[in-house]
Amino acid sequence: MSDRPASKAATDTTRGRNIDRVVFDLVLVAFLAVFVVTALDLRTGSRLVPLLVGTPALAAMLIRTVLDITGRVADHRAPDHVPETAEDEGVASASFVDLARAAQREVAADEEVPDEDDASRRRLQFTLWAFGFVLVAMLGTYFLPPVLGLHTYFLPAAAVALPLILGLGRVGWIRSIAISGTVIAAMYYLLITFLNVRL
Amino acid sequence: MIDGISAAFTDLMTWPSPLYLALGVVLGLVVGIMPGLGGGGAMALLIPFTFAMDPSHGIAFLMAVGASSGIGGQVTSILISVPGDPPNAATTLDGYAMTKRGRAAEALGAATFSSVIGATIGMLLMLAVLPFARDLVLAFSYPEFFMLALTGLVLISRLTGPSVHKGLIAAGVGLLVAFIGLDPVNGNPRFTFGTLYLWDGVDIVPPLIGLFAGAEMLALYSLGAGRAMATAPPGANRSSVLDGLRATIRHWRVVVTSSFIGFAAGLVPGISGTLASFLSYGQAARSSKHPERFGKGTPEGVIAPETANDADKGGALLPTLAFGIPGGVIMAVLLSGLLLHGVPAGPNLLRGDLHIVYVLVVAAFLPRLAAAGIVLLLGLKAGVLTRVRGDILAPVIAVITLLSVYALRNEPMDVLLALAFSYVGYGMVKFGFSRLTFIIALVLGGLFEQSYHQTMATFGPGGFFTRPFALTLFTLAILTLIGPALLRLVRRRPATRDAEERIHE
Repeated sequence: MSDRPASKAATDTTRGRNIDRVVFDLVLVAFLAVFVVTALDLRTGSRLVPLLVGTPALAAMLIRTVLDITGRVADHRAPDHVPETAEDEGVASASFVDLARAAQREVAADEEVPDEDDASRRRLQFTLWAFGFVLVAMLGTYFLPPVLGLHTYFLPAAAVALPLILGLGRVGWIRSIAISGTVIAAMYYLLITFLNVRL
Repeated sequence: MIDGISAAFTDLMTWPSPLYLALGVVLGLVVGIMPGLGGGGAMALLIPFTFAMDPSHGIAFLMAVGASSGIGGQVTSILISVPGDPPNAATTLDGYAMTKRGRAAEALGAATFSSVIGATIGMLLMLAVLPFARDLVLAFSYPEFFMLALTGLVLISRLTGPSVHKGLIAAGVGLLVAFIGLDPVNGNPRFTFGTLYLWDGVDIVPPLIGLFAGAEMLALYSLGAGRAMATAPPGANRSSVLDGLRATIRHWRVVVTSSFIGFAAGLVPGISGTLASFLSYGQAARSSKHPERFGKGTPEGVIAPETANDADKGGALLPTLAFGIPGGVIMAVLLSGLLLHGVPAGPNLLRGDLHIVYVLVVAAFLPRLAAAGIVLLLGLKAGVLTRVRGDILAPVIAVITLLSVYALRNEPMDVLLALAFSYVGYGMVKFGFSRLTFIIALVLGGLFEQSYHQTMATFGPGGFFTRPFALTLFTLAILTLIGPALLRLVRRRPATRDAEERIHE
């Protein structure tokens, strides 16, 4: 009985993950379709290679999307990391093929991302923060007069954005401001003084 | 060759190059030990900072970061069983077991000494093979380069990521992004969607930084403060780093064998370092007098993978320099750095002055030596860097990353592009599309399309299949794609026949 909420949560997570996967698939389909359709309007010499690459890629992506929508493919995420001791999987006495597979698994396992609710909330927080920081910096740069002798609003936006996210992450406001101040000062020195970047 | 190496050494000892190398070593060690940003991501992030340097000094600086990050990755593998990068994974097997038995310092000593020796042997092997590669590459024409790019992409699609299907899609998307800009046939803008920004094509650095640094920061932040608080088990300092040096000398056969395995594996694109370390670990276990000790904390189990995964850089550098085909993230960043500094890779590099090649060889050795010295001096204290909180590190590095992308060309749109690619990279990781395949396709897109058109114009369609090297490469690509399925079919058939016979009986 007590397993039911846990299993429901697991099902919800899997369903959410599948929806995310299909959305990502559709974004890729749209991207490839735009390139293929645009290529059709180009001159023969210009469109040949893009069509040779884009058409099979689009077809493959459509197949992948259909498989993901119908749930025909198992989750292809990497299996577990290499165990703590070689004894568990017999790495020490494994064949060439097994060792190559272990290496391949390890590369894929490095590509794991966390999937819990808290992690999703934090991802959303980071996304909003990052896009907010860049948008404020770009809008300021294009539409506002320069401030403090700077050419862009990237440093002022960073001076506001960095303590904000550190503070939200329960780092403590004084520590957040100290860390942010150090980073901004270092970037000012490195980029403006040392590299003459028009920042 | 000796003259070339001594000229490169003199160049790298000319002020301010030692300062850049020292900085590269410290930065490489820090990113190697700290969670999140790997060596490749850090190198990509630092490319804009190399613009103020001489090309040879800038490339050496990048190489120093990449080389030292590998040594930093050993520390976490040995002390807390968390590999800094996938190639360090095999080291955790015996390295952490040694730590648990109070022999962490010996494991660190063995790992650092063996990686310095491995890197040196790998680079010497590369220099020994380079003249042959030069002859080969000078015999190559457009069809061979087209097939080389095609085969490289197919191999990487097969070897990285969980699905070859998704790998090929990632390669297709990467190639299409590479086709943005003025087309090489008519010189007309293509896929620019009415924006002037895209006329010059998509610069490699913003996607590289977004995919490998931005996406990692997003993942690191989502882990919160809980990650990277691990500590080495108590009693982890009952040995000395000199014991590690003694063990490395005692097992010199393992060092030599692993160096050769590492160099050969380095030629395989995609998983070279990881493949090298696992293969050499297996080989060391098979040839050991005490194979039963592997996995329980034997120095040979640390020496073999660490020698191999540093010797592989020599092997990986060969296709990058000789053919302009990078096999991994570090080599892709290095190639981008070379191109941004106006140093051509491939035949043009090998036909001309080889100074930059010798600079890379010296830069692969000197920083590793310095990094090894620092790790040995710090010893177990180096592990303290693993305790930096992810939720502090991620936003700080994100700001540095975005500002450094802007610094590349003073172009705000580059920042937006890098940010967008951070999320694309995150999605690719989450849903199993290989980022490495995508970025290498982006690097190879120009070569792929130009060599296709040049082949058609010079040799006609037959050029792809009538020249021996081109045909061999094409066969390799086809075998890479359908070989595993054929093998499965061949293996299954006798089993099915047996089962049928049993049913008849």
